Order: sequence, then structure tokens, then C-alpha cells
Amino acid sequence: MKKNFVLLTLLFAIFVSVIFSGGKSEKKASEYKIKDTVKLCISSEPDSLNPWISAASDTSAIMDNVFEGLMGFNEEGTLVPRISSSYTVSTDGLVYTFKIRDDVYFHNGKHLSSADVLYSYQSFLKDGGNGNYRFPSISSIAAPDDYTFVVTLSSPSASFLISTVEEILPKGYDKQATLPIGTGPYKFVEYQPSQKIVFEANENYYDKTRLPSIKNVIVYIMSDSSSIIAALQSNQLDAAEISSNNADLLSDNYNVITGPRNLVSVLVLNNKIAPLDNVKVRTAINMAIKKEDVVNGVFDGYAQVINSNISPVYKKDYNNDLLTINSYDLTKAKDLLSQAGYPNGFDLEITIPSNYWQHVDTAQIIQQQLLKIGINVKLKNVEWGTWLDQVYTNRNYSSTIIGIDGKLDPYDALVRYTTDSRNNFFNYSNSEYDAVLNSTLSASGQELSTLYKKAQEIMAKDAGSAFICAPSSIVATTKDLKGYMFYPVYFINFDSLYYENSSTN
Amino acid sequence: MNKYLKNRNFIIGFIFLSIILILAFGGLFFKPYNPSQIDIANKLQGFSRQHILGTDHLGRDILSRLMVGSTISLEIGFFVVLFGALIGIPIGAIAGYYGGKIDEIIMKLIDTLMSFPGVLIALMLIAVFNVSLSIIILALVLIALPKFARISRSGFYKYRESPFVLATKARGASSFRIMLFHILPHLVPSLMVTASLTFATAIISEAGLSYLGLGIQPPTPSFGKMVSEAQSYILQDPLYVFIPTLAITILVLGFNLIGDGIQDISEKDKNNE
Repeated sequence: MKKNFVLLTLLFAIFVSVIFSGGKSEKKASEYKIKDTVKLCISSEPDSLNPWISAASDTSAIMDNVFEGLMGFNEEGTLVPRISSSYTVSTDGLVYTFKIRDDVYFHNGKHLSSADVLYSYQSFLKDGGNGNYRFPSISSIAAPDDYTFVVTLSSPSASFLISTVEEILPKGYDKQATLPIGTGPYKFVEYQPSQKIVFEANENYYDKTRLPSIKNVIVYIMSDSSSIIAALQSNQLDAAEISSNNADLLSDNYNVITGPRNLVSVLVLNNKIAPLDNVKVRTAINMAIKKEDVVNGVFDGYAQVINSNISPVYKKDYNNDLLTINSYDLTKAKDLLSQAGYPNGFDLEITIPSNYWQHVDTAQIIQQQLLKIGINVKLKNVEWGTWLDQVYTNRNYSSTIIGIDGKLDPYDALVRYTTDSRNNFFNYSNSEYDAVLNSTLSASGQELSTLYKKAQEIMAKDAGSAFICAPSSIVATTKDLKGYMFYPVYFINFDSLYYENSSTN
Repeated sequence: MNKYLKNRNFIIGFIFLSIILILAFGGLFFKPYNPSQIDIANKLQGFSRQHILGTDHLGRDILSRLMVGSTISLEIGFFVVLFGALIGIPIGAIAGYYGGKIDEIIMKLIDTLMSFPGVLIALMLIAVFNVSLSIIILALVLIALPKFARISRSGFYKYRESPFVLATKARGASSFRIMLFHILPHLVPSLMVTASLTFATAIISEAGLSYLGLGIQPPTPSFGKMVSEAQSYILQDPLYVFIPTLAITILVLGFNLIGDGIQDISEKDKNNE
């Protein structure tokens, strides 16, 4: 590794230049092929092909084309019918009755009935599912006839419906981990470890409006950003998620599309450590950070400035009116520090997980910005394992920079700031916030959104931490590939993809 | 001195090294910009009059960062060679001069140390202690030490029975005196070669560790860290990754060529004897 280091750099440069020069001629050859295949990539190896065992978001992003739940979600995160065509709720909010479609078949040809749903829910309740969705207090489940499924809750819950996106698998099939089958618009074909996963369109899919247009989907496993760019340029990939610094490079020859991601980049302030336990100090820090600099410097402009603890990806529930609270103002920040008893500032240690270069860069920018109000930042770079142990588990830190991701349900993103939450490594505690979140459990519709927005407002006014920006997902696709969609959780929907003019080829 | 000036390897190596030395010493007195000063508006600028070598992805001046980086590289190389030699040479001397059981035990220990890959030793140390400049130097010293010990051992072993040593011994000189004043001077050329090669290895190991994120920590600039930061911009701004890579190449090549030069010269001297 030592002596080969320079050699490797040189080799890499040669490799890149070869890709550059070779790209154009290869493009011509592939134009003659009939376009019925899309080549994509994910960055990590699937953790399990069995959706009940898998917990990795990379895996579910592609495998959820194979499986379906009673309900599914659209790009706004709203629930839409899938295996169940409709449902009714009893007036006390306890009994949910799902009507199951009678035209659903598994990929092995087996007809789906309520017995499969019952089997699936029995498994969820037995092992608590795969941990992706919570099943709150279900008191009983039943399948009165072949196409009806009834769930009875022990107390009303607004978030129960979200958990019905959990995948339904056929009863009595034991090869899910090697040859998974579901009811979705794509069938699993093969998996070559550390190389690729192959899918094929399910021609017998019940929802004729969602019939796939692309016949074959091949998903390669690639993690290095430079090799992804090289693969795109040599037509080995048709679409791929790229990093912001490469977006401009590809924008001429590719469609570069962006969408919000369910991720919030945060300067986390440990609310129990002096002087960060003082709301004036936290407000001053918020006021001294020019978030636009982080957006432009680290994310090349591909991020949205926020002042909320959830991502704008939740279109209904994200509070867009908070940016004026504690906005950039150095004079006020200095005043607040003096009022708090630190007229000359203080020393602040920021612990950063060194494997995330975005956080390391963000930290260096914030270090310079906080210096202007006299806060002397010391950066402490730690490995990911150490970060998890010191910061996340033991909460033994003063501040850190990290990206906090959310689930399909905004409640999951907000509940981690409640006083008793196991994941509340912010040590944030506000009884008003706790009460608002508690009241969301029995609310619904517009009222629910209002409560979620209220919670974000309390957090912003408290300056619970410095919420900096929500980085975007950036995807480059070939010019003729259309229909790539972004979802509140990482999901690459294959059936919305299509080639423009593909019929004429 | 004349013989050094006639050796092409030595001259080229010396010129290469001078470039880095000028950067490093110049940086101690004058830097065009504060190397950690971030200026987002001017990021990834190419060569210009304001920023001679351009700016990095956070708008920091690359020349200023190279100046600090070269000081750190030289500092690490210097201390690694110093401690490696101070510990390695005496160990080798004792083993080689006394021979027998002592030689066997010491050399087995040295071989054990040598059989660990360098990066692994560094990883273990960093896992136990936190990353710091002194831990990196300690790790690199552990890698460098066996080389000095082996060279020194073979030299002392070779000369311990030679007529001039036996004569000095017969005159009643102490072992310490014989080792320090009568044998060691004969080993200077080969130890110099080892020193310059170790210097190069230490610098490139540090660059490798920093590249992996285990070496010098941001915001302090170092060559390896600069390469790893620049790597993701290789398609956008190839010059950004080229400059720190070139700096590493010049520095390491410089030391290697000087080492080669010294070896050439000492061999020529030997042939002339």
C-alpha cells in the first residue's frame, strides 16, 4: 500500500482518461439495440433478500419492486391501495377492515388470499416485524373470509395505517432468502453477490395502469463515486445517484434530476452539557451559522436551507415558516453570548465521524463561522464505531455533526426529540414538545399536520440544535430515460421508468 | 563534497528535495493565506494571480496548505528517522557485536516486528489511543526501527572480528568505545542510505494513513488528506488532485534519489580503496 500509492493514483488517472476517450464510440453501438433494459446501481450489498429480515435502505429501495403490502405509498408519502382495494375504520378508530383484491397472484402463480395476509401479520406480531415499521398495540387479527382481513387495535393510533406497507409474503414458502417472490410489478430473477441483481417485469400484474414499460432491470452494486461516473459515461449504467460535485460535469449529456431526500444535516448540540444547556448560547450558535455557505460549499447548492428537525420531503407536514426564527445575525448572537455570561466566547468541541467527508467539511466551515462570535471550535475526528458508542449511545459529547434520516411517517422523525426517546442523543427536553407529539397519536388529517408543524416550531424557537440543510438526492439518467421518481424513503420505482420514443427503436 | 556534485542521482534528488524545503521553510515565515480560511465563493479556482496554485473545494488556498503540509511531512519524516535510528542502531549493534544467543533473541524479536504490515501496526495503535501526531510518529518508528536494526547488525557482525577491531581490543579499549568510534564510522554510508529511504517511506506511509483518514486530522492540511479530499473532484478539476500528488512524488522521489546517490558514491569509494 505504501509504495503502490503513487502508482495507484497514476493508474487511476490513466483509467479515467481511457473511459473518457472510449465513451463515445460505445454509445453508438448500443443505439441499435432495442431498449427494454435499464441498468441501475446501489451502493451496498443487499443485507437479505427476505424483506422481513432486511433492514438496509439500499436493499428495500430496489426489492420493494418485488413485494407489496396491504397499502403502498406514492411520491408524496400518501398511502395508496395495493393488495387491499379499500379499507374501513370503525367509529371508535379501533377496528380496521381491509378488502383484499381477488386478482392478485404471487410470482410463482399462487393466488393470494386473506390466509397469506393473516400468515404475514402473525409473523409480524410474533417477531415485531423487521423493525422498519412499528406495529402499535394490535389486540387481534382475523380473516373472516378469503378476501377480508380485520385488524383490531387496543387503542386508536394514527400511525397504524403506515405500518400496512409492510410486505405480504406467501404462506408456506420457505425460500424467500434465496429466491424471493412477492406480488409486485417486478419479479426477482437472480442475484450475483457483489455484482448485480436482476429483475424482470411481471406481465400478469393486476394493476393494469402500473404495468411495467421496461422489461429487464439490472441493478449493479457499486459504491465508488468515480467508478459510477465512469460507468455512466461508458453506458454501463442508465441511471445512478451521483454526488453533488459531479452534477455539473454530467448535466450536458445526461438528465440530472434532483429531489428532496429524507435527511437533515444537523449541528447537534448536547442540551445537557454546559454551556449548551443555556438556550441563549444555542440561539447564538444558530444565529452565527450562515447555512447558505454549507449548502454551497459542501453540497454544491444541491441542498435546501432549513430550520426544522424534519426534511421538506414531508410536503404536508414540513413547516416552511421557520427560517426567520434565529436567522443569521452576528450582532445579536454576540449580545446573546454576553447575556449568557460568555462575552468572550468559549471553547466548543465538535465530534465528527471522519468517514463522512460531508460532515468533516461542514465542521470546518462552521468552525470558521463560530470563530466570528468568539467561539473557539476544536474538531475531534473519530471513527464511525467510536461515534456510535460515544455520541449516539453514551451521549458523552458536547456537539457533533451528523445527517439524521427519517422514515415514511414524520412521527418517527419527530419522536426522537421527546424526553424519553431512546434515540434522543440530543438530550433535548421540553414538556410542551412532548405533549404536542403525544397529542398527534390520536389526531388525523389537517389537525395532524398542524400539530407536526407546531412541534417543529417549538424546536426551532428552543434552538434545540442547529438544523442546517436537507441535502437533495441527485440522479443522472440517460437523455431518453424518463419517469425516475423520488419518494420520502429511498425507493427506486422501476415501473414508472420508460424510454422516450422506445416504440420507434 | 566534489564527488557528490558529480553524481546525477544525488543532484536531481537534492533539487527535488530543495523545492519542498523551500516550500516548508518559506511557509514558516510567510504564507499567502491562512490555510484554514474558508472562502466558498472562490472554491475550485484554477491557477491565478491571487491563488498561485488555485483553491480547494472549500475555497482554501492550495499553496498555503501545501506549505503547512510539507512542514508536517518533513517533521514526521525527521522524527521517524531520528527515533528509528536512535533505537534501531544500538539494538543492531549489540546483536551484531556480541553475536550468539543475544543476537538470536534480538533478531527474532526484530523479525516479529517486521512481519506485521505497517498499516496494521498503525491501525492497532490508533484504535487503542486516539489519533495524534505523536501516535502516527510512534507507529511509523515501529515500522522503521527493524530496518535500522538489521543494517546496523550486519555491519557490526561483519567488522567485529576484523583486524583493526581485534587490535583495538588488545589495546584494552572498552566495547562501547570500539562500537562507537571504531565500527560505527564504517557504517555511516549504508546507514545514510537507510535513513533517506526510511524518510521517504515514512512520508508516504503518513500520506497513506491520512488518505485513509487515519493520519493527520482536518483542518490541519497534509499531503495524503489533500489527495483524498481532491479525489472526488478528479473529473471536475484534475489540477486539484494533481498538485498534492505531485508534491508527494517530488518529496519521495527526492529522498529515494539521494539515497541511491549516496549508495553509488560509497560503492565507488569502496572500489577505489
